[in-house]
Amino acid sequence: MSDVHHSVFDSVHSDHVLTNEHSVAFTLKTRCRKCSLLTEQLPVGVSPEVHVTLGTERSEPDRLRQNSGLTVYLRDSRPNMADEATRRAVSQIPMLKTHAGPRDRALWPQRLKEEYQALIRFVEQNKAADNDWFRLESNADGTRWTGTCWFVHELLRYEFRLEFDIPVTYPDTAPEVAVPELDGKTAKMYRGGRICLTDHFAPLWARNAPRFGLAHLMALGLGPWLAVEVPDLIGKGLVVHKERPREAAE
Amino acid sequence: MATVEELKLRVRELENELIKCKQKQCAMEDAHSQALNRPKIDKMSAEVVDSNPYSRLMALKRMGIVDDYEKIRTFTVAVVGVGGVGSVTAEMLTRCGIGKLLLFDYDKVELANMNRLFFQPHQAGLSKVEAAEHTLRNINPDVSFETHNYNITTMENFTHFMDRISQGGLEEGKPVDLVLSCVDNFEARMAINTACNELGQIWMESGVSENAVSGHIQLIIPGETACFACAPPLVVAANIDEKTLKREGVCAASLPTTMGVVAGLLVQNVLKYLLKFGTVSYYLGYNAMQDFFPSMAMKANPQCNDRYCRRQQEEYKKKEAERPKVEVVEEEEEVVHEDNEWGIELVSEVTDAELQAASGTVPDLPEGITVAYTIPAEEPTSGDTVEETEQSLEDLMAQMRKL
Repeated sequence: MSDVHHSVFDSVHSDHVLTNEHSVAFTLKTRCRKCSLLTEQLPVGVSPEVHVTLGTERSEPDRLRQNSGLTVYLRDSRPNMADEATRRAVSQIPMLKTHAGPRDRALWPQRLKEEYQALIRFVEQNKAADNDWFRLESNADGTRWTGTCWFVHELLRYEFRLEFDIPVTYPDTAPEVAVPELDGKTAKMYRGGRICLTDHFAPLWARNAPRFGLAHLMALGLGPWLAVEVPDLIGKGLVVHKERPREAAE
Repeated sequence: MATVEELKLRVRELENELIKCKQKQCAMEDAHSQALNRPKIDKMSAEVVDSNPYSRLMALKRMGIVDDYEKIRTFTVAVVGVGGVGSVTAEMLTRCGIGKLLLFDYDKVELANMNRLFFQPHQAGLSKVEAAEHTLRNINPDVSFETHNYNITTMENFTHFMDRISQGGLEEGKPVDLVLSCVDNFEARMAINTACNELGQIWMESGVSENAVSGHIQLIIPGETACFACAPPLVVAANIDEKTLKREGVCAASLPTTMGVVAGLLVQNVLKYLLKFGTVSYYLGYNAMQDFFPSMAMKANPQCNDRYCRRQQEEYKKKEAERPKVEVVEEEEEVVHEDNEWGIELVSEVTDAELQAASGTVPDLPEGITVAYTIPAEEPTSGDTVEETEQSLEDLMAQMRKL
């Protein structure tokens, strides 16, 4: 067996599934240093018996140590910021093709068209799935975006204004989405109501640049943020439902 | 009975009122202190008398540390981000007698900033650049100041920002000597990187981690050393057990100590670079938990995403080829690289999606420095892309509005 791979490993991976609240089933895999392949073969001396404790916080990786001194991280697979539903929704958003930011006079209009195409597709999909939750529109040159997003909690609809500028470094960096009316109400926010995204969002965006667009930003950035923060703010009484005339948008 | 919320609101109102009163009082004190300000000094003197603000700095010459300290007055430095690190950086440079400072920041002073150095409670509500200029001018009237209260990452501001970097030197029309990034977010760093790559402007990046216990400084010479886009963001490993790091209910922590240390490291490197003494660091990390200072140099990435970085690399190569063959610099850089097994933990942090992404290469980094994330070498090919469309942008905008 050790001939197949080179018996030299520089990392251990685990494939795991959560079987119920408290137990995890997984297989450990090691990456062969020479051929880089993942194999279920473990380095000599590493016991496959490992002890797992699930983290208590969502999205926080859980770590387990082994006698060999190798370290394995297990990510808590309970629903988190990028849960199954989100992943499915994202997989249906078309990827963008044009790598151009607002400073690229020649190609930006094409990129902007693709942004709108992807956004329209995403909103239509949301509607079809009875999960319509935001509207966005831009100024003529597509550098400033405004819109609304809404969140239904206990059958009541809470609506918020949202806004952001396209940074000059877009699409290499994501825009900073702001929900100004929630400014000062939650610590998960920077000045001016810019939402604080998780540690996972920046790598996710960087890995998928320039193919991710604004629709992805909504689905993976703002959507999960609202899902976590709004119920919490309502619970704390910081967001109170106000009857509003239903907008044509709905 | 008033609710807690109402009371909180009232406290806020009163705080704001207090700020206004203090500002008024401050303005009056200013008028008073104007009278106390020392006059400008034309020439730095080395004379050791109580009244000479430059005597201890000029002593560096007598001790043989710096050849020509007065030269500091000919330099212009742009400080982008006047927060915990930037304000202290600006103060240090002001006290050192720098020629001109350009300050960029769009933010206002808040009471929440008071755990850091430099700003004072009575300045709350003022723009950071305005408040900073005021304090700094009082400290050293010999320094020229130029302040810009805007966000550099938006289109129109960015153009202006680039213009000031390339034209805002001590002598108008000349570029600044150095740009210092003291910002707190990735977008702004990338914007500075973009500007400096396009202009061929040498700059230094600085940063403090969101958990406040590590930081770094980095010298970026476009085309020569790795730019900010050449590799995923580098982080100083804090060796903190992930389990004990709670993120519930907070976005960022900060300490005046870490910020002060990083500002100190940054300005030290600036002085060494500008006044040509000691060894200038290319990358210096600070791990506050173990008091560990990893350092290294990293070459520009020929596959960097930024095309201006690639262009600068071409030019650097040409220049190097033309230079007589005394390639000491290159050797030095290679010596700094050490074999290491870092990146292991990063690679093994696994979800299915990340497992694939984890195959991205981790640059060869010394112990204690790692990357925030890796990027796969090949672009993922799965997933639909947007289709070709006959519709114009206006059609699409209208369609979006109608939804």
